[in-house]
Parts: sequence; structure tokens; C-alpha cells
Amino acid sequence: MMISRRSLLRRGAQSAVSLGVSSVVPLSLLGSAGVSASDDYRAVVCVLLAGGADSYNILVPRSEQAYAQYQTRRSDLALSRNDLLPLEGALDGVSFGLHPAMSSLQQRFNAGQATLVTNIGPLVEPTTRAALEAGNVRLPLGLFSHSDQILSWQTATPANRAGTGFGGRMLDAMPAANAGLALAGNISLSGNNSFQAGAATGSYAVSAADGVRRIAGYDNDVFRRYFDRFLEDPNTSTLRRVYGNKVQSAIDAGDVFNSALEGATALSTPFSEHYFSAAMKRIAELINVRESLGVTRQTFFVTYGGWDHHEDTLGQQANMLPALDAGLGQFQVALEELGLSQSVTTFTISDFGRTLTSNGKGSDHGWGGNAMIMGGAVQGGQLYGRFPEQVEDNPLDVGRGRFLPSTATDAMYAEISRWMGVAPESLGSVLPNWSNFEGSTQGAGLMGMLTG
Amino acid sequence: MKQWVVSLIFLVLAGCGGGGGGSSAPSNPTAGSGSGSAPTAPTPSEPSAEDYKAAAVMLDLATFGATDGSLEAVAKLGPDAWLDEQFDTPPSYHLPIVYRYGSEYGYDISNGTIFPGLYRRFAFFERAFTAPDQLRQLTAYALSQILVVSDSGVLGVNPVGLSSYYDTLLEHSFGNYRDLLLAVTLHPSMGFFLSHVNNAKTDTAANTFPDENYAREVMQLFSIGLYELNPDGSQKRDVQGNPVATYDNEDIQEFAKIFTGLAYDSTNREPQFGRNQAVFALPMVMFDEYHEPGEKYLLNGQIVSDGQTGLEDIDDAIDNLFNHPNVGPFVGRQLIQRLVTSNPSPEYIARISAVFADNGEGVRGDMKAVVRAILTDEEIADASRVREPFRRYLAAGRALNIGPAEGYKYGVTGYIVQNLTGQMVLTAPSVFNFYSPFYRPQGGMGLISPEMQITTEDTAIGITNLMANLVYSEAPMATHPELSPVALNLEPLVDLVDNEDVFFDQLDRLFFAGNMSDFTRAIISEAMAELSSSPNEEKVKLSLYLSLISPEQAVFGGVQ
Repeated sequence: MMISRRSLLRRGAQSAVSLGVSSVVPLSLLGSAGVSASDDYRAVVCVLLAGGADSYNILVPRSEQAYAQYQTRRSDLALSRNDLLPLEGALDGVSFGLHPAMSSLQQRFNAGQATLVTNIGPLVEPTTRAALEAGNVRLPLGLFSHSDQILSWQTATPANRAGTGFGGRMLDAMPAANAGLALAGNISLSGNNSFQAGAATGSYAVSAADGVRRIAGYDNDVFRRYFDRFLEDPNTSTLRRVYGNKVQSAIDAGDVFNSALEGATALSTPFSEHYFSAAMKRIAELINVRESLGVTRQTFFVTYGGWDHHEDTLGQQANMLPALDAGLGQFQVALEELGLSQSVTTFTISDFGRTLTSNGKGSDHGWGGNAMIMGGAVQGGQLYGRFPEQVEDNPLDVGRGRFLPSTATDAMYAEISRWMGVAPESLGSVLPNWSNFEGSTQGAGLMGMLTG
Repeated sequence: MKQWVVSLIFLVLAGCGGGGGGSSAPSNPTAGSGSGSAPTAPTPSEPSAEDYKAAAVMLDLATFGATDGSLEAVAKLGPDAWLDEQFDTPPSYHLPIVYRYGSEYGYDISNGTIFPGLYRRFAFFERAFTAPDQLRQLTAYALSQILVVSDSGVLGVNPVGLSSYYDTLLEHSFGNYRDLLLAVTLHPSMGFFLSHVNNAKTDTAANTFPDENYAREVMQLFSIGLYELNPDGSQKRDVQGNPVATYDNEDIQEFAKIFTGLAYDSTNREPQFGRNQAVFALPMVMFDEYHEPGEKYLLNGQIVSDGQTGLEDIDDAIDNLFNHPNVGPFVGRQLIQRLVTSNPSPEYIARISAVFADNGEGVRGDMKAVVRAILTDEEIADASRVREPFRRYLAAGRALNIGPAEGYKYGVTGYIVQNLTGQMVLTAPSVFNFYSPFYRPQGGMGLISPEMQITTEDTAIGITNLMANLVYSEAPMATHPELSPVALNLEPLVDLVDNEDVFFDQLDRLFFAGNMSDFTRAIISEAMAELSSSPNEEKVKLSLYLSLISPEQAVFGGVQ
């Protein structure tokens, strides 16, 4: 990426502005926050299936003709029709089933609490196959590349690398929501990420295995006294300041987190041992202490990686999907225990869908795919978006069964933003490309997917 | 006065035998400040404070960490002569250590037994802590973050896969990038990791196509990147001002055809396409009947003709990529970031690109010339880089003379650093490494700092705790139960602590590349004064702990 002097200056200016908004809340301010009404609480959990999950084997057509097309197109990657877990209802006259590992998702779908958005993916503006071939449409950077499409999904600015993400901008647009520990607005179980990067907010990283880490191994008071002194260096450099502030904010916020967590009632919902379930359990525990933290709008981010199945797609999905399904299902039960199932919505994103056609062992990088959404606010029991007919001459097929998305990522994110309470006039700052899609087929169809 | 201080350090160090290894005693006393005098007889021609400072900087950049002994050696030899010596030092490979452990513990691989996977970890740490070819070990380590393979699947179980891969990086670290790219392409660990092993040609009847995985990543990550670059690393622009893609998906599908037909080799039976049992120490072999026939279209209009063997196709494709003008700036910039600075100027990148393009003797891709140019560039004086947590851990171990406790062997696994910091050699979450070479941290005034991508609230505390563990724990490195404990030797520093100036100069050279500020020094000195009635060892430990957690130590260079 070229950094022109001008863009460097511009970035510098932005950073200088955001510096004025300290990300570290003075400890004295904590606990005095007035916002605590739990009925005004909303949160989203973004589950990144890193690597590009083959979601055309998570959602599979069951109707006879559509299944036959699927089977032909996928050849050795096709699941057996009898193994599919049936979903109630139909989309465009076609009935569907889920991968046999996804029983919790099936149950929640059929209970009206989960759905999938079909053939969704990053777009910059309404895009047809013809425009794509003519080269007269703006496209996401680095189509089919992991590192680019994973950013396109997290940032919802696929044509540029502005540095902020959808989750971060969403909280930026609701600055009054987290009057307590602002750092607790965006919590990541998977470290730094682009999804939660805002202009004024960043993410706070918590370990799925170890929770909120504390200073250990040496006298805490001595550590603090001298570490704080290091930070007072008048001649420090930018990178040293960034590093030092990271340690300091971790320590300060960690104290607040840990004292809140220590005072909380333990959840009784059982979670499995798997990393993904452990992460979802941490999220439920952190949601449980939202009032102590003084937050009313939160995003959570967790990566469950390893989905780049160029090889052994069937075997690897059979190994990995049960943990995904269990974690999602257990989390939903925990939300019910907390009385918050209407207040928290979980959704999956992934780098891309994959080629329908096989490479003889697995599938390769694609574009559109199927996203899962779960929660009490979801008007489930039906699929959203438009499912592409799985035939060789489908005009959406840009090669080997890579589908041009029929629905833009922005459509799903606009619906989530509205549900989270982003004011209509702020939607443009959260989703800068959304105005391109309003009224277009690739922007339509998801209104009302989330209610309440 | 300064000369006297230096001489005193020199005496003390000479008396303690130099500690944790690294460079051996200088074999070429003619370079640098060249004395040639006996080590116990300081003379006015002994290394100056400036010589020690230059040594501290070079060792910080070019090794897994300075030691008492290597500081002395490089101060005497001079950085340039030390580089010459390093380029001539034979490689210390990892695989022999894996086999040594295997044999010591009675494994017989002739019957197909697989050694425990953690032997590759033992091998890495033993070499990082003690191998004399430190620059080569470090260059291979830097390359391991560009040509990424990780310990997923069988590679986490069978130590031969990753040790053999690391040995391939070591073998070519000072060779030619073209040979490295080919060797990596044919390495079975890469074949497994990016799934081009057992990758078959198009089968129209079965409706299957060549696997695109390696074709994509060899271009995106190992050679040319996504966009056309100028030699200074900036992106070329089209008339509309947009970046110019280096390839499209059609090109990916063409290169996917190139990388078909490879299978694991075998030692005790005929290799067979499609078989999943790997002999990781041998390059993959070509089965032409599974290789895509016909012409293939490479980049820049080049075509490989019909009828070539699979290996000829691969050779041509590697040449095609290697000769792309992007490779110098693309790989060069990342090597600069790993070894020196996070935000190299366009001029610095251009200087390295020029050396990559021509080493001065008309050779393209000469890694020795590239590494030398990176480590001797004028911009080192302005370098700034958040240190990788993994290298902070290694450097602390080396500086504090880590070694097996008496009667034990090395058995460092690295699990503790991996758990607390998220970083450990060859364990990246994907082929995209631990961080992006373009990551910009919040509040960083637009500066790039890849290492900050893995510096989270969680790992920032994690590395702080790791340093406490290293200094204060009885068994400071996570070790194999049978092989623990590993011990530090703090005596050389304890011996210095009563002379504060000398002591701090040594801390400075070991941990701060000779650039410790008076500000940080005063804070540590004050903390030590609080322990005035404690044993000297406690004072040393506190000074080490505070040094190792200070933002000044965490970030090399203080300009940006």
C-alpha cells in the first residue's frame, strides 16, 4: 500500500483528533454511570469463520431438482440428501436443509429464532455480471483473496482500507450508550481486529481461555509505581507511547472487569470445553456484568478459524461444525438464562463462500456465501436473500461456481444497525456504501429480519 | 574516564567466559578497532564505547539477542567484519537435533515411528540460544514469517516436517531467492500446508479442477503481492489513479495447473500419487500423468509450451515470478520490517530493491547481498520497531545466559511464550502470518506497526507476566518435564552491580541496543535503591524486570 505524504498527513490529523478522546476512562469515573436499564441493552456477537467456510455445504437445497443440481455441481463434495437436517418453509419454492452437524441451528431456525442470509457478500455498488465483465463497476479490493475479503466483511468498506470497521463505527455513532467503561463497548475474544476498530473506539481483548488477565509474578504495587513512571517520559516516541498505553489501559480496565466479574452470579448454562464454546461462555459472562461496566451497546468479536478447506472439505467440516453449532446453541441458552435472548444477536461472517466445483479434494476461494444469524430478535423460520440456482450457466457464476453475491453485506449490516439503534441520519457514517444499495435488488429483502 | 569504564567491563567479561554463546572469539582481529592484543591486557586500542554501541546495535538487529561474549567479540571485530564472519559460518541445521533427541529417547523411525512433535521446538530453541550462525538463524526466522508454514495437522505432530522446512530456509537464507522459492514450492510441508501435494489435473468427467491454493498464495504472499509496485515499494497507479492488480483469477487458474502432479516421496517403497504418508525430509516428486497437460499462461505474456514435464513447468513458473519486478520491493520491504524498522522510507526500500535486482555482479536475488544491505543501511539510525514478543523472550534468555541446569539437557518447548503472547516460531494462525505488514495501530499517528496487531490488552499483560516469570521463577522457561529445569545465570550482572555506571552500561547494551535513556535509567536506579539492604541478586532481578517491561525496551529505536 502506498502511503503518500498527503494521506500520511491526513491520517495523522485523524489520529490527533481521536487522541483527544482518551480510550482510558479514569478509574474515578467508573461506577457513577447512570445508564443501567437492562431493557435498553443491545449487543451483537460477530463470529468470524476465518479461512472462508464452505457455506454451500452448510445450507443445501433439499427439493429434488435443486438437490440434483447441487449434487452434480459439487460432485465429490456433495452431502447426502438423507443426512440433511430439514428446515421448515421454502425460499422461491425450494426447500432446504442444514449440514447434519447443525442441529442447534436447525432447532432455532424452526423455532423462529435463527435464519441464514443466502449468497451474501461484499459489494461496493449494485453489480451485475455484465458490468463486472465490462469492467465498469467498482469492485471490492482483492476479490477471492483471504486477507482482502476478510477485511471487506469486517469493515464494510470493501473499496478502500479506511482503517475502521462496521462494529467500531456502529458504537462511534452511539457515543452516549457506554457512559461507564467505554473500553468495554467492543470486546474481542480474538485480539485486535478490523471489525471493532472505530475512529474513537477500539477493541478490548480478553482471552477465551484465561479471561481478563492480571499482572502476575511480581508485586503489583511496585509494578504499577514504576510502570506509570515509564509512561511519563517526555521524550517518548509514538510507538513507545502506543505500546505503553496499551499496557496501562489493559491494567486499568482489567481491574474494573475483574471486580465486576468477581461480584457476578455464575451462569448455570453448561458450555463445552471447545475453544469456541469457551469464548462464547466468556461473552455471556461479560454480558452478565454489563450494568457494573456501565454499557448499554456492545459488540463482541470472536474468531473460529481453520475453514480454508482446499482439502478434505467433508471430513474437516464434519470435525469443525459440531463445535460451531454447540457454541452458538449453548450461548443462546445462556442468553435465555440471563433473560436477554431478545437483546443479543449473533451472526457469522467468513472471508468468502467457496467454489461449488471441487478441486478433487476440496473447494477453492469464492465470493458470495451464506451467513447465519441467531437470536430472539431474529424473525427466523425463513431464509433471507436469494439462493442462486446451482447450475453451470447461472449468470451469477463467475467461474467454477463462485457466485456474484445476490445480496450486499451492507444490507445485513444496515438491518443490524437499525436494530442496534443507530439513528437513520447516522447510518451513512456507519455504512458509507449503503446509499448505493438502497432500493436496489442487492440491498433489498432483509428489512424486518430483526425486530424489537 | 570512558575508556577506563570500558576497560573495566572488558576485564570482568573476559573473566566470566562470555556467557551464553553466540559468536565465538574473534578469528579476524584486523578489522574494526583492531587490537590483536591478549584479552586480559587492555590497551588504548581496545574497543571504545562507540565500538560497543555499534556492536550492541548490530547484535540487536542481526541475532536472537546480544550476549556478554558476542558484544565483546563484535566490538573488537567491527560490525562489517562480523557480518563477513556470519556469512561464512556454516548452517546449524535443526533436523539433526530432532534425530538426536529421537535416538537419545530410543525412537526407531525405520519402522515408521514418528518422533514427538515437540522435538522441533527443542531444536529451534537450542539453535536460537546457542548456534554460532545467529544471522542465518535469524534470517531464516524472518523468512519463516514471509514464506509461512504453520504447525497445523500433521505438521504439529511430526517434528520432521517443520524442522526440515526450517532447514530449507536456513540452507537458502544466504543463497538466491529463486532457489529458495523453488525449494519451498517443492517442500512437502508446504505441499501439505497449502494443499498442492496430490493436486491433480482437470478431470472433466468428475467435474474437478486443479487446487488454486498454492497458485494464489505463492503470488500474493511469497513473491509479488497483489499490486504492481515501484522499486521504492509504492504502488503503481493507472490513469484513474487506481492500483494495478498483478494478476487476476484467470492467472490463478493458470498457475493452479502448473502446481499439479506433485506427491510425497518415499524412502522404502515406490512413491504414489494420492498417498498421504509423507516423508517430510525429501522434496515432493512429480507424477507427470497427474500434471495438467497443454500450454499455460504465465504473467507478463509468457507462455509455457505444451509437452513439458511438470517440473519444467514449475521451473518456468518460478522463473516467471522471480523475475517480476515486484519481488525486490515486496520481499525487501518485509525483510526490512522484520530485521530493522516498521516504516522504512521509500528510499530505503529502493536501495534494497536495487540490490535484489543486482548484487553488483549482475546477479538477481542474492540474499547475502540483500541481508547485508538491509543491516548496513544508513536508515538504521532512524529505525523504530515494536519488538516481536517472541524475540523479546529469546533475547532475554540469551542475555541472561540461559542454559540447562546441571545434569539436564535443553528442553524448551515455547508453550509459555505461545500462550501468553500468541507468538512462537512456525505457529501462525494462517499463511498470513501473525500480523499484516500494513497494520496501523490506533493512536499511532498513521505509523505502521505489524507487531502491535498482536499486542492486545491480553498479550500486553501476558508478555509483562512472561518477563516476571523469566526473571523471578525458579524454572523460567516452560520445559519438557523430563528435561527441566532450564536456568539463567545472572552472576555476570550481579558481579557488576556495585558499580552502577558499568552495570547500567551493560544493561543498556544487552537490552536497549546501547540506547537506554537517562530517564529510564533513573527510574530503574531509583527502584534498585529501594532494595539497598537486599542481596545484590535481588537488585539485579528488579533491574532486569523493569528493563524488560519498559516501553523503551519493548520498542527498538525511539525516533517514531
